[in-house]
Amino acid sequence: MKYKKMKRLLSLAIMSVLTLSLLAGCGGDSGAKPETTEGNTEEVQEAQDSTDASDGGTGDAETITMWGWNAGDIEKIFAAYKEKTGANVELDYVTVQQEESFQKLQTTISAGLDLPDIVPSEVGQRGTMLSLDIWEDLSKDPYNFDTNWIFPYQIPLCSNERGELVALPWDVSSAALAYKRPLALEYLGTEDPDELSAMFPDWETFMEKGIEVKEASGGKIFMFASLTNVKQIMDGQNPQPIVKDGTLDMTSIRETLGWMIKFRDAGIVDNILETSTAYSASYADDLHIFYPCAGWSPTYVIQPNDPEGQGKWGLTVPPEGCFSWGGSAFMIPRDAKHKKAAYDFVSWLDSEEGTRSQRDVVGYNISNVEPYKDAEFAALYDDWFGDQNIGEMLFQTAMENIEVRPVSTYDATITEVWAMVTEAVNSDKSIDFESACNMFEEEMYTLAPELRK
Amino acid sequence: MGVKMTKKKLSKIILFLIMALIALICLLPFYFMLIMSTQYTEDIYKGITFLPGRYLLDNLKTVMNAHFEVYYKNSLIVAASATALSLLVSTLCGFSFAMYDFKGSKFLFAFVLVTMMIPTQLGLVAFVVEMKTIGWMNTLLPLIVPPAATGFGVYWMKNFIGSNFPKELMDSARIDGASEPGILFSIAVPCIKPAIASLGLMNFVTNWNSFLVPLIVLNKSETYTVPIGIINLNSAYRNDLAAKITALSIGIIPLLILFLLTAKTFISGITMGAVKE
Amino acid sequence: MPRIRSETKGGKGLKRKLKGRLIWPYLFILPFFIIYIAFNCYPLIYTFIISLNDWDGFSQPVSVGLANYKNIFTEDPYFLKSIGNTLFFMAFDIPIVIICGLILASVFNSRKLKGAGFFRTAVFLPYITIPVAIGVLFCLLFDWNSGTVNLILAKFGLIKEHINFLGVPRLARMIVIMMICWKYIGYHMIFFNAGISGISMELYEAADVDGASALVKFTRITIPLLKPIIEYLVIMNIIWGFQLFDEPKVLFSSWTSSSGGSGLMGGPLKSCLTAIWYIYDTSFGSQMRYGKGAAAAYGTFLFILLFSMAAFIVMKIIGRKSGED
Repeated sequence: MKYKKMKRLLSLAIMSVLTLSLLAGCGGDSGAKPETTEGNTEEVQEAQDSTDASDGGTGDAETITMWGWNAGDIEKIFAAYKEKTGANVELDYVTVQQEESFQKLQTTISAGLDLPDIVPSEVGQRGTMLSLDIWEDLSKDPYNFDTNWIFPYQIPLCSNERGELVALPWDVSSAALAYKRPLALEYLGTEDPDELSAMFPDWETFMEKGIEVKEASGGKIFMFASLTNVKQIMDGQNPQPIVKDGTLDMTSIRETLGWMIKFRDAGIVDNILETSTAYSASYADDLHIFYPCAGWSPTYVIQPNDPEGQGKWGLTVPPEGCFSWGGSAFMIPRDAKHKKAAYDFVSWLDSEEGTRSQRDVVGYNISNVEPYKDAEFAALYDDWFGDQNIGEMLFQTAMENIEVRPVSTYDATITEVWAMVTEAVNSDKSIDFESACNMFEEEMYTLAPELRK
Repeated sequence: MGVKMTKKKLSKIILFLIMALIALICLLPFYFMLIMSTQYTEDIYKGITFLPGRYLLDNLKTVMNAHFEVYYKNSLIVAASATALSLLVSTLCGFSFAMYDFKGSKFLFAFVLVTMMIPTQLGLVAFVVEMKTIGWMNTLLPLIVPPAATGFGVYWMKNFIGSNFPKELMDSARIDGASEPGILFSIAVPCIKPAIASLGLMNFVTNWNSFLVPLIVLNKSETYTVPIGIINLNSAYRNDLAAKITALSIGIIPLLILFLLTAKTFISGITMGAVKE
Repeated sequence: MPRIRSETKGGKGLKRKLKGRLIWPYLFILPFFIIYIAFNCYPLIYTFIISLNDWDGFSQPVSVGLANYKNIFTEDPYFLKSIGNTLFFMAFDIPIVIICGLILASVFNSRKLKGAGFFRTAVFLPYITIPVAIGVLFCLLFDWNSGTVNLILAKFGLIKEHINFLGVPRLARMIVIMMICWKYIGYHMIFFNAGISGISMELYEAADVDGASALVKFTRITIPLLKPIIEYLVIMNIIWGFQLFDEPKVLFSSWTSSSGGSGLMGGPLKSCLTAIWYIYDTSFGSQMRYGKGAAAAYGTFLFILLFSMAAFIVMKIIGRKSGED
């Protein structure tokens, strides 16, 4: 008796809940109670297909929604875009933290929310993002993006594993080695970029020199501030895929880790991790000589961290050549509402006009190859690098031997494992080469068991 | 006798000093926070200092350029309405469990107690899917309605009403012809003001600081709340830590004011409602 | 027929009136149950369905039975590690917050202390701080190279080499425990404060007459009378403990990184990975394995039940023993 009433009461409550959600639900055809998860994914699709005019914009102008972490600059770029092309569009720019953009993409997709028209991606998670089957192939109709516009090295960084071009690169990511001129002069005997790169034909010599510097300075001066930097450069120089045919290939990891541990044991790298505040502060000190430096580094990293360092910096080719580091690219979701307008904008960014205009407006170095053929445009001077033409090195010398590793579904996992292993190797000197490699391998298998064969 | 007195005095002073030290440890981070909001980001990287810098205005400018007032408004709406709704729901439910002996009340109350043991985060993935189904994504509703039902709130109100609101009052009100909701709102509520104040403050703090759910359900900058606004606060070129800390300082101020204003009622509310079993 | 027992002694005329009244208790509890069932129960049940699937959030889910559970309990070492870490944190922070909260509350209530109101407010303030703020602060304070604590210790010659607080698993855990204690001692103090002011002053005065010391009064009067609050807080702390996420997450996020480098999931060698963090990372972080994340949610729930039950039983036994004294 009592139980019956309880049941009735509970079912009453559940009924009212269901009615409530039905009322609140969209249209009611989706049904508030999906019996299976399958049913739900269909709804996701439906919601994305249906065009919803929530952000209709003003007048006839289309409003494209874009995520990113360059608020302030992007408005200027967009204004230039409208002025040059006369496009009748507006931009809704949603600031997303770089480190949270991937997570934000995942939750947006799984929650069935509308994706923006333009999604940015940072290189660490690029492959994982591109492997999602949700992007427009921009080399096909109706876009037909001409890949001759961009630097050849960028094409594998913007293609998914099926070979579709699903992203367009933004800034040039070629990188070299920055150094503090006074320190180089004092401890390496020269501050000339060419002499320095001649001094370091390979990493072996670099290490020997590093040990000399360490001894000469009584252990005060380090070649690098952070093992993270060593990883960034060497991993960037190494095009060997880490996941090949569904299995883990440790070759490139072992090479990079090997050097990291040799450098650590030789005491030529300081123990500062890149995520630490001390890393930022180290740019202004006179204890650490070398830093990796991509096209975006002077404005983003060196200037704010070393505000009084005008003329203090130099740029040279690292041992074993230049590499690619960082850089953003944009994707357009298949379900985006303003695909054409979004493509028009993003491809304009990579056009000759766009690349020239962004240099004028915000000082960015964008990926269209044409302007860089013009020696005047390719020349780049920065107060922090004195009268050195850093553009020549980044846009011409570097391009000759840059080799990139194709992106992979496992990029996000690899990035995460690298962070963990680097931290461990940095904090605990008792971790030797073999145990570091084992740690990397085991961690990869833990996060991606299917790689174990 | 005299020795004893000075000994007593000495122990008093030592006690005071120890407590002052503890208070200092508790307050020092707030001080650091204020100091950092007057500094330049790259100076903070060199280590926290004890003296203020000259960049407060610049930091404030960055914060304001990022439309912080919008986040602030959203947070106020969320925290205030979530708190109000939660208080209403908890008071109604707690009153019912404390004052009536109805069929199933034991079982249902046990259910409420069980809900306290289940962290809401466990259903996060499905919650997000649900929010999408009912069209609440990118609205403030998921931050207002779901947190209204807290087992703790009901438990708290039930305990408080049970031990501070005499049943006889109810009976006499009934004889006077008052309706049940009438009794609750015009007679019981005034009696349990301290409980409402203390529960209200705790709810306000929780909802104001809420981080995980808004991080996932809010996707448009005009719907961001303060904590989400802060982590997305960037000036043009860099990760501007000083501006973020300035925003944090501003974000904490309403809570500080609220707490200082209600501290007395809050503490007495907790005192009167403390578990008595 | 539902019946209000306490009211049945009324006369026959009251009965009809009562009938109308019967609906009110149910109406009053309705909002709570509607909201709870709609926004908490339903997601929890739905989560269970997800846990039986292999699902990345948008493609077709594949039904895999209990494989996700098998994975987290036998294959992926980090789920059990995250539970272990969570228990480790609790083993330290529960006694600390309860004991310190209790001591502070009794000190603040003693007539010996001037300015108790101020101290009470000061100690409670950390509780109302936005978690992100605490994360940033502790990051800056305990950094290996430029952290204020290291700089101060080195300045006074207390250490020769900087201590890697956030990089060594043991120390990193200690910092997390410190954060929790700093934040929650005040909260516990307020509850004990409430309990102590409920204790009749006469008891203490009687003890004074007997010449009892402060310590004796504390252990013989205060603690036994606060037993219900202590029990309640222990159980709740176990439940809260399993929900730990914000503090370690913000401590190892890269708020302070100038180059946007990613944070370290779980802290050094995952030593600070908590159960909720594990769930969060599995479903929203580097992996998109909703099924596995959902299974971990249920696995965590299992441990919550297990440990709060155990604590409950242990406290009952202790209670009975001390009752026999």
